[in-house]
Amino acid sequence: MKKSLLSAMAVMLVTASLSACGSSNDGGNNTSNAGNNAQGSNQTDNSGNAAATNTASGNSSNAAATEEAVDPFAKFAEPVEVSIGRAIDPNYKFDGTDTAEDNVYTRWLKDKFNIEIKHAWEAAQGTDYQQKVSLAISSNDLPDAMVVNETQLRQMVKAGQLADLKDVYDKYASPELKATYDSNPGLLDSVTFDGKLYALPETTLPSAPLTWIRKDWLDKLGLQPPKSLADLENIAKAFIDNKMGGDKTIGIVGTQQGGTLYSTFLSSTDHWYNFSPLFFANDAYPGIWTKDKDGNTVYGSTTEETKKALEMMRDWYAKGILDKEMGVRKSTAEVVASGQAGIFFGPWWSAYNNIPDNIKNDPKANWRAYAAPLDAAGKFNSNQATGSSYIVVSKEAKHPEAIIKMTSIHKWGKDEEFNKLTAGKQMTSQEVPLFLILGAGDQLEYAVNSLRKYLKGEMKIEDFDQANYGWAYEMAKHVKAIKKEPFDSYDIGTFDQQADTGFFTHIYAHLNGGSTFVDADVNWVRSIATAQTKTMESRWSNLKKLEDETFLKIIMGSEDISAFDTFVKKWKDQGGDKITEEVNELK
Amino acid sequence: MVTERSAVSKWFNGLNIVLLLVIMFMCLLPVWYTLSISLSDKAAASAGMVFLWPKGFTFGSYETIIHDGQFFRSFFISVQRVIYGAAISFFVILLMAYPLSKNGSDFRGRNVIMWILVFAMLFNGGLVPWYLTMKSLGMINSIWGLVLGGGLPVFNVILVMNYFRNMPKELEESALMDGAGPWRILFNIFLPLAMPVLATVLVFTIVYHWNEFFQALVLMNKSVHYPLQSYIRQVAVVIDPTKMDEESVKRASELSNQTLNAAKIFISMLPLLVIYPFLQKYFVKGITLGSVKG
Amino acid sequence: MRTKGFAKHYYLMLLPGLIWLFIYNLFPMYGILTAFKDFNPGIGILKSPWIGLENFQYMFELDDSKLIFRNTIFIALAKMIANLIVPLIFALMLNEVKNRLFTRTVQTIVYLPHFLSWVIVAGMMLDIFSYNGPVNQILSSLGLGKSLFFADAHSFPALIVGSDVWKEFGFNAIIFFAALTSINPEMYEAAAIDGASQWKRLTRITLPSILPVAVLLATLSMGNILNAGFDQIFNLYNPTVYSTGDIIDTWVYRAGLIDMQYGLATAVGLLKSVVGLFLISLSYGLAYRFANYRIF
Repeated sequence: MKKSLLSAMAVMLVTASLSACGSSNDGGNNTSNAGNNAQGSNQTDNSGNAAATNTASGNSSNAAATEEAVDPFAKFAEPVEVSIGRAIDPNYKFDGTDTAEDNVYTRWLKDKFNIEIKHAWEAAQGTDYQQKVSLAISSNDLPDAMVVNETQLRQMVKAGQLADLKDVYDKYASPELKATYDSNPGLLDSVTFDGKLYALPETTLPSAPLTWIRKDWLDKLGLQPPKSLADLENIAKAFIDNKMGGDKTIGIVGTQQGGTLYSTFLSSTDHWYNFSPLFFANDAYPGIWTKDKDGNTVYGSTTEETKKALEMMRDWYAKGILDKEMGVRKSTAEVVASGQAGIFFGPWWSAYNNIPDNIKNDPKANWRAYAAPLDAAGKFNSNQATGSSYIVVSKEAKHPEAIIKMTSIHKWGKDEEFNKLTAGKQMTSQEVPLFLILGAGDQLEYAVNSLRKYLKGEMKIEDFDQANYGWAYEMAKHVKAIKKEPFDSYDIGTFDQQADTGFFTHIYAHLNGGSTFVDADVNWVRSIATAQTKTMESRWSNLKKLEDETFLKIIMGSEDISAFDTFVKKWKDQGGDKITEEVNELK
Repeated sequence: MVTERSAVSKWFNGLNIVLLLVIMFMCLLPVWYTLSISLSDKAAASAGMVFLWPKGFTFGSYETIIHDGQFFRSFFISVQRVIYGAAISFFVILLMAYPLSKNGSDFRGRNVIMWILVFAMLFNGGLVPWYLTMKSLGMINSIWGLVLGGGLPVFNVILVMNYFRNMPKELEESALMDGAGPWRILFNIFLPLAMPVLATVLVFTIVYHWNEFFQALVLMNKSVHYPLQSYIRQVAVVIDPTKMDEESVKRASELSNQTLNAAKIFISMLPLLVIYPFLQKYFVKGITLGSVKG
Repeated sequence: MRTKGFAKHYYLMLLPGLIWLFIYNLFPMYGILTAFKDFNPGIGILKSPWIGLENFQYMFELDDSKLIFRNTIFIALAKMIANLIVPLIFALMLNEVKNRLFTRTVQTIVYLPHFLSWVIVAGMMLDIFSYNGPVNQILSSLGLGKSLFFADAHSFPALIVGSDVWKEFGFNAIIFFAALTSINPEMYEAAAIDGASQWKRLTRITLPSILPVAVLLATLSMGNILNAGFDQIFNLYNPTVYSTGDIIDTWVYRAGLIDMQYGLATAVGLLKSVVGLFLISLSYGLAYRFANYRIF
């Protein structure tokens, strides 16, 4: 072989051998691809509560309660610019040429309060946004304010990047805002470090995962709604055996790719599409810190109950009852929408999202929510949500008070003019900058109960507490066109889906899922720790990875159940014991 | 030239062709599959009923894209990026490769520079310092951030350099006799002869700039500045049900992400699929010629 | 002699590239210091306190470290071997076909996957290998059990190598095509006259002619031993396959950008770079020594 040929070849060979180095070594390319599917955990916002987003109680005037204090709803004398980092929904349709930065809400904010919103940057909600936030934090290139998660908040506190909001909060927060935080004891304490208030946390509305089942399938097979785990197993089996969703019927769907098996103390609000109820019905509370029989702090994922739950799930998985593609499936919502599945777990507001998709494909799809399965003692258990979104303000921000004001305004500052401008259109996180869920906690209960009374004629529309429960009132105006008799049944056939398409999903979600949840007698279990301790900062992500990996493998049968004991031992050795001690001190 | 054709040989050749056809088919399959999905209706696609042929044939996804202004804006940004990126890389690579193809004895400092390049290829300082550097250079929200931000394509420099190094020494020597300077040697002698490898490098650069999407997520503060691949990636975001109104629920249910994404993916790969067969002619032929010679 | 005074022109030619290199590649490298510091974003990398080798110590304590280095090497090695053999066999097969139109068409089509990004290819692969996807449908119609390929730690590395080969074998074969066309046709003619069979011609002429190419290719790809393909794995993996599929680059990405453990992530990345430099130097030395060939 001639040497020149060899050399020419070699040119190509070097190409081959070096190209890979190149691809991982120039600047950002290193992390290319970043969150294509990393951490599907979206920015979670538990309540899903339309009510919480929209209480139009135009009481900007009654705010000057105390003489000394500033009017929290007063207009700034000079225009005040607030730069924010913003999560946007690229699929969201604004009116006309409106954008997240310039829309009916931000213009109103400018005209009425002289607060001008500037986007330092925006990114698609979910991983892209989280990545941008991480980058902003680690490069110390921060906007005035943004919404962050627990890990990011901790990081920023540690780095000393945040403004102490204590004084501006005391001075500028509206009485309503203060009352809201006061009614959620401990909430502000969880974001107070060394006496400094570093964030405005979202309040969490309770949300337990319910079991959603196709009742039309139950009826067809002559089955009763489930009570115990065994009932649920039988129903799932019957669905599959009778091919209720076609040849590819899936028993119970849940965790999708990047999702989690159960909610944890750090992202406790996200009960959407996971398998939490299967653990709760086994009296297991993985992912949160509970007390054992002797009152000692214990991490729920390491208990015998969790092992038992995993063993059961492993059995169900082997029998084909649990989705064979759990954890790998790209979108659980799509399977539900296409009618292949008849059972999933989700909070009451699940009826907002993918069920309407399924109904559209099959108008008879009658999804109902059940407070089941119950544990051996007949109790319906759930872990209790803690917040996961925080508004933080940079230490460099010129007007931290504007951010406090905005938070008050968002919920309690709406006036007549606002109602006219928005013409009843619901303002979402896409219009409202620094959107935070704030609620006293009984919005849902009020809405569901009063709607039921109103339908039965036990309550008149004038009786609605419009000031405090504006959304319930709004729904009441539409409910009679949509909900047909019998009023005590919430089957899909008793709703007129076409009469008022704008409000159908709201009414349907509140009466179907909402009523089940409101009526349920939930045994809440709260995590002892709701934030990371010191050792967790360095060790937690690796421990969590170990946990996720082991549990998935046990369920999917690629590891024996004995892997659980190995996991517990490893978990303890690699920092778990030390962390448990730290949590124990929190009690 | 071959006269004898045994039965075994015939049988072998037949089998060989069948196998090659199967291989060819396997290479086309995923692209075809994507096309089928993009032309199917939502229900059929999400139920996994589509394989080789669209079910419930519809152009709905493509119609949605045509009405999507951002898609075209991003498309244009990508084209711009590819053109600038390819042009700049082309000249920088050409200019660097020539001196580096000299021996250490002819050009002192050559080996040191070479090792610096290799070092730069293997090590990197991480995302944060890179971002801060880009920011201080005003590369945020700028097409130049995308064009230059990837850094010097060291690997392409080495590729061209090696090619230069293997060109016949006599060419350069006779040019030197005629009194040619380095610039004339490079542009009048080396450049025309190096077309094959330059075409190869051009292809690599185009493919890189067209397919790269992560830098934009870091450097661009608004999605209006995104190139096409970054834009396509973000449409598949997880929908947050709690912040959605009826309008978006309705829209989302009309077109599943799967079919729409397939259509977007298909359109995004179309330009490369159209271009490469033409470029292929040059670089494959070039390599073949280059190796036969000498 | 005649090249005297050329050096300054050479430097002038290098200048644009060197400026580019300095600004975008070299300058940001101060970030490597993060590996030895307790990084505090509030005060920046340079002012963060030094902690010596603490990040490296923690790295060696982690079970993950051994795992990701092992996975990386295993996958990279398997890819290197497969990407040598498959294109070679393919080129030999195509070389036996004499119809120019046919070979041209086949070549054009097998290059196609090389031009698709991993985001796109991964999406297609996940679809095709999903539980109800085409592959499983074929398996079940043959009476075989369905399998969740991308969630099975045993099959995951094979799928990674397989999909990489699928994407690149055509492109990698170019070099072998070039080598094959450069074989002197007279050798075949002489062999035909001697009555050598097709098989004999393959083993006696074709293979020996391109063997040196294959050997050199193998030597040069050594530098790749720690590059198992971030883009590809990142788009295809999930927690169930971390045990066999998590590689250095994906791990560093998660530790850095998701979990914000910058020091640790930088330390692992740095170790990888150092090993990479060592390997490149080694293959440089080997190629120079045994093939008298200089890589760069």
